[in-house]
Amino acid sequence: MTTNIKNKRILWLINHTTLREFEVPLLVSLGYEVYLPKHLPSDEANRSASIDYSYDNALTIPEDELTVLNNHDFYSGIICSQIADIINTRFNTVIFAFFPNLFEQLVKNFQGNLLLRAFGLNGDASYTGIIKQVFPKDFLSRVEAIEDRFWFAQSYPNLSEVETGALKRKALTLPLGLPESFFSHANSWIGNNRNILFVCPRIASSPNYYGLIYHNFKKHLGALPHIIAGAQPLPIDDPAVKGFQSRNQLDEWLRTCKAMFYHSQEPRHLHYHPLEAIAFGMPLIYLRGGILEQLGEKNQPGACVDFKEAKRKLEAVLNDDRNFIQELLFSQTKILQHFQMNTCRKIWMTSFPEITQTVTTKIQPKRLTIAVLLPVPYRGGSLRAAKSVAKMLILGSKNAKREIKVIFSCVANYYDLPIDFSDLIEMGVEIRETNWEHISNNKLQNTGVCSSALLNEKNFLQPTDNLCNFNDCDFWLQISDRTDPPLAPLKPYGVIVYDYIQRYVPELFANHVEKAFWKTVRNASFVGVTTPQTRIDAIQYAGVRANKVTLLPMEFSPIEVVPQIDSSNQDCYFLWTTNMSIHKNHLRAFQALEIYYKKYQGKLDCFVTGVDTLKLLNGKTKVEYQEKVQSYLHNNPLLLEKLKILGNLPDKEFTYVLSKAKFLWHPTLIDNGTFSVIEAAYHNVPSLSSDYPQMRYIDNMFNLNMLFMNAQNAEDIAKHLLQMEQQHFERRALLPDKNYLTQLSYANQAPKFWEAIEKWL
Amino acid sequence: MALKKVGVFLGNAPEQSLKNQGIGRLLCFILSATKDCEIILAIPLWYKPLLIELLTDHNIHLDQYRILTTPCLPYLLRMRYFLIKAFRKPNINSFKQFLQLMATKFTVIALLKKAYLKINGSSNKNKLKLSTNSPELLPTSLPLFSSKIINPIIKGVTSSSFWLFSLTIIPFLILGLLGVTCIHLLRLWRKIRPKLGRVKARLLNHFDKVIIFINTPLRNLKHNKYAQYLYQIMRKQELSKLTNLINKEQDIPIWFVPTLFWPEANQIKSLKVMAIPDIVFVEFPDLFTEQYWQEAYSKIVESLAGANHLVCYSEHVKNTHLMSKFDINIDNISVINHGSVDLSKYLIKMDEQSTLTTNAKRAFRSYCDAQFAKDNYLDTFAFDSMQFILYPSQVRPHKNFLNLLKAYEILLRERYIGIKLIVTANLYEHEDLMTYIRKRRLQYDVLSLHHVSSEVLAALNHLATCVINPTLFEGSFPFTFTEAFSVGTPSIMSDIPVCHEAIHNEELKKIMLFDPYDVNDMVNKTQWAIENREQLYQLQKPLYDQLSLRSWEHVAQEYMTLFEKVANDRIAQ
Repeated sequence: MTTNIKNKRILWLINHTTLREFEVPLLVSLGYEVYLPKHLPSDEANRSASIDYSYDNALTIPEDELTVLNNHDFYSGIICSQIADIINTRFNTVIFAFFPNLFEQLVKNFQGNLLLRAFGLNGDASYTGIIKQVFPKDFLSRVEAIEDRFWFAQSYPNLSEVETGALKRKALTLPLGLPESFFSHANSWIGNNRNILFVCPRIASSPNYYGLIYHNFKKHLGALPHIIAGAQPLPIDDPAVKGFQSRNQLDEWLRTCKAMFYHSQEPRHLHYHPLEAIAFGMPLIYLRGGILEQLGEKNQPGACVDFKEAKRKLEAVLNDDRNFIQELLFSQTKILQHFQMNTCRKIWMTSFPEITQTVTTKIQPKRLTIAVLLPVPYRGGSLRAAKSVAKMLILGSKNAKREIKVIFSCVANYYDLPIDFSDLIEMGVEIRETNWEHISNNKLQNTGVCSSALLNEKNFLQPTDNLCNFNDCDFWLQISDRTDPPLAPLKPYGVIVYDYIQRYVPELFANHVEKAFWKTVRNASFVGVTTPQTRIDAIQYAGVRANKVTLLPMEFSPIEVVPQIDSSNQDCYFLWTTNMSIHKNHLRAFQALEIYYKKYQGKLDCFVTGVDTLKLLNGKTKVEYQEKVQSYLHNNPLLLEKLKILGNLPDKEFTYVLSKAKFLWHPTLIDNGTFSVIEAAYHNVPSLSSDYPQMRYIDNMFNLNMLFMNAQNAEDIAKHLLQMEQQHFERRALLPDKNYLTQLSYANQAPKFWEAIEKWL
Repeated sequence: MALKKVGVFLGNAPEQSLKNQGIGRLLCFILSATKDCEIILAIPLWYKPLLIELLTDHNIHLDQYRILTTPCLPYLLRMRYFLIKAFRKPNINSFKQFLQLMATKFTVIALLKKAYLKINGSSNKNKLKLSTNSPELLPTSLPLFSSKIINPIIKGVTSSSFWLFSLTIIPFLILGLLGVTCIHLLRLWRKIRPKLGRVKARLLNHFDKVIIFINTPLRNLKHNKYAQYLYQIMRKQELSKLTNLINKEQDIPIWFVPTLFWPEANQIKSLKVMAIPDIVFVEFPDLFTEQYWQEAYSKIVESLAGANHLVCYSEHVKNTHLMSKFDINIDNISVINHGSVDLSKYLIKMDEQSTLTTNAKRAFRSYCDAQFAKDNYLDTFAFDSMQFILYPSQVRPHKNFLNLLKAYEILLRERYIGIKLIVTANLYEHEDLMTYIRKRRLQYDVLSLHHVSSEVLAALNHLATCVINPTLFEGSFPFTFTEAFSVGTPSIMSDIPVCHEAIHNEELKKIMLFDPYDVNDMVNKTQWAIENREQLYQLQKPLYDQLSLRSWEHVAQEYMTLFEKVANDRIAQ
């Protein structure tokens, strides 16, 4: 019973208004329930698209499921497990338009019958050709793998002539029709406006196609009075070009202009507007060679061999040659017969109902190989985070009972593999040393693997491993966007980005144009971030589509304290973890410390740790900012006395120093938030932090109850230092329980992590 | 007695598009709302294409109006258009490139090219770029010779009389031939004088400058004395012809002049009603000290003297500018407030089922995809997801862009509000602002979307989180409020006198108005507006409802009533 109902439901994933007004009533008349998408494709070529909710009431699927479908953007969205469950449970057939993401997602996730609705392309272009050019290399073979439930639903019988493979073999003609609304102005033409109507959109924004059509028209027929309709995203310096107009205005022109000229000689594509002209009863003059000629009878008076003949005929119409006009109007109506409901319905009925009864199959997920790419030889926290990603992939997939293999790529000759990656090796992760090499756009094109839409740079960066260059992987997951030039899109890939500090601290990048980083993330299948503010930056600054940016769970893996024999026995200090980057806000921090010690008579010393922090005292540097920092410190004996700079400490030593501190101090301007405040809380040490969104997020997520200060204001920082000096003991009571923090370890967060990224793989 | 005909005088400069300017939009609103009266538009011929562009952008058909225009274009303009056509096509930026192009067509010029290349070599060093106010091109002692020699030549070149033009141009043709001879002489001289190289480079670089000069849009030459000098003479001649034509139309009792920069309208013998949006010079004399603005001020003073009646859009301008500063009689001034602007009509069109947001996103993306196809940063940007605050305005000294940039930087970098700022001004034409933006590395977050159509303007207004207007002065309650609200977006704006004429709710004033001189106040109000968009929208709804009661039909009717009154008063006298 359920199967019967399911077979009577169609996912009609197209938004073209006129097409819907014909095809959906036809489907309903054949006894189907139809679901229509509620998000539109947003490119300018789809201006005639619209949304229709009117068929929702007749759908017999649960309302909450309908809401989920209505909220989903099929054109640019990823079909997650929830959507996949709904469409596979409730529908047996999908009819969809040719949009790359939509096509890919349906092939990957839909288990029923797939009908690719094709309306024809220009010249000899074929859908198979576009698939080879734009889609991943293996896409055609994926279509062929489901050939038994795939159809190339062509609008005209000759579309498959130029196709090959599955699209040719599975061609099925389902003719286009015209809705009743199309004929609401039937024969209302009066022709009292002495102009030729010509429709030519996007003249400047599509110069090689519509631009040429426009120039041809102007060259041959420009001398005749004319109006050019069609949306123009870029203005055209021609008073005859009227741009985007209201439906009423278009109807008015169809009613009043003397004639329409239709240029297209495309054998496999026909616009609606010449048919509209015929429906209005308006004389139509067109060039031979296109679909109109194929549909009309021989010796159609409106058909012209060339522009010269067209000009002669248009002049006859403009001069009110009654006999010629009558002859035209009489003969051209025959073209419309091909598009009438009865004619089309008969053809649909012969094959369509049988297709929708086909039994669906279950897609078996295959074993995935995922490469975690670390393109920069990071150590410390960044390396730890990258390793955690690999660990969470292993544990998360295991928890979801999905079999995967993880390969970890690290920059060659920087690491001692057995030592640095012992934890990963133990978990079964393969470690591959990688050299990053340039690969040209031409070479990438020659591979035939990459979607040409992504090949928007001259050079790319490719991970090479002296084996197969990670071609054995199904998916790459790159840690950070730092590939310059951009990452070669040889495989579908995701990027995990931690921050966009350069947006907030302009001095960090100065005149550097991070074009390669932008391209790397924009070309990615998804971008993972760990804080909402970085999500905003990925969308608003790096320009990544919002629905591709995923918030991943933060994880914290504590290091236990081991007593240090040679450690300082002094414990009247607070700890400042930093490095030499400008966003660490050293100068204002120094000013604040001066105020704290001089004005507020601060009693605690300041211990400083972190990469390169010994350079605060000395060390040659050509970086202007570091010179300023060194100079400031050397001119302040008080600070030299109070600051104890420890440099970069090993993890265990750092943990010990941290555990002995009265509090942790974090005066950074902005970053993705420091995990050291969580480590501090784990060791019962409270923190004083700059107030920026990422730290607020960490505070909230880990329940740290930190004290916040304004990092832009030295006086405010100093006041808060004093407050911490006085209240650090009381603030320990506000810290979270150790057990609570361990719940957020990578092992515990792995299922959430896997859930967040599985849909992209 | 009801008027049957009203004339509208438009003395716009060539290439001066009003499409994106308040005055152009105001004119269209009035035109489209005027009924039962024939409108005659008097324009110099050079403005006709731009008038069509303006009207088309507002869905108004030119054939609804009678056009009175000059018979032909001045030869100076024709020469410019010819040269632009010749030089623009293949991105010609230097004399060398021009010769290379011509050489492919004309053998004689091929010889010239050969000579040029031999003399100039292939080196491009010492190549200078012409700045729009490049002093090298300006004859500093021009006025001394103007009366005897230069003026007659210029009059000939700028004339639309064929014979006068031909007589004037012959000496130039001779000079051209002499120039070619000079090039050959230079080639000869080179053999004798090795130092010739430097002189030659300078001379030939001047050719390149001329090419760039030709390619420069006229609006960018407004501070160029040389271009201004030529333009003023040409303009006087053409507008004088236009007023002669107007004066032959004796059945048009009244002419409306929508701005005060066209004193030539004083030559119209019929009654003249002139619109005075504001005289901003009165408010900020120190911001308008450049020669260009001083000349504009002189035109205003001259225009005021010739108008029979003045219309302004606020009591503030009436009292502070016209009565106090210019001592104009109160009976000769009328205040006609603007109507409410509804931008939604540009977004809801063909397909009423599509939502405002869908159409807005599509229009916005279409514009951006086309405009930024070759931009390093924006070429592949996901515009659908972009969030921004919007300042729809041109750059003028009192528009307060610098404070807005400072406020935006604080919002972004100290308040961490990660959305962009979009302005509809062409910031790239304003080096001071661009220098600031680049120095602060804000070029990726402050976007200049200039020359947008009404549809794209509507889209920007709809998609903006909020609209901000930090102007130091306006002559009327800013259009930006109703424009934004008509497509669902609240606004915040400067606390300036005209706002108090329109907003009467004191609580609302506290929320939506900021001190435009106080960056922190601007930051606080903007942050609140961004974070409380819906609340601000609800608070502003009564204000919008009240303002939207005043349609442009009302406004047009008030103008017609005023025209009738002025005409009847004259008859009574």
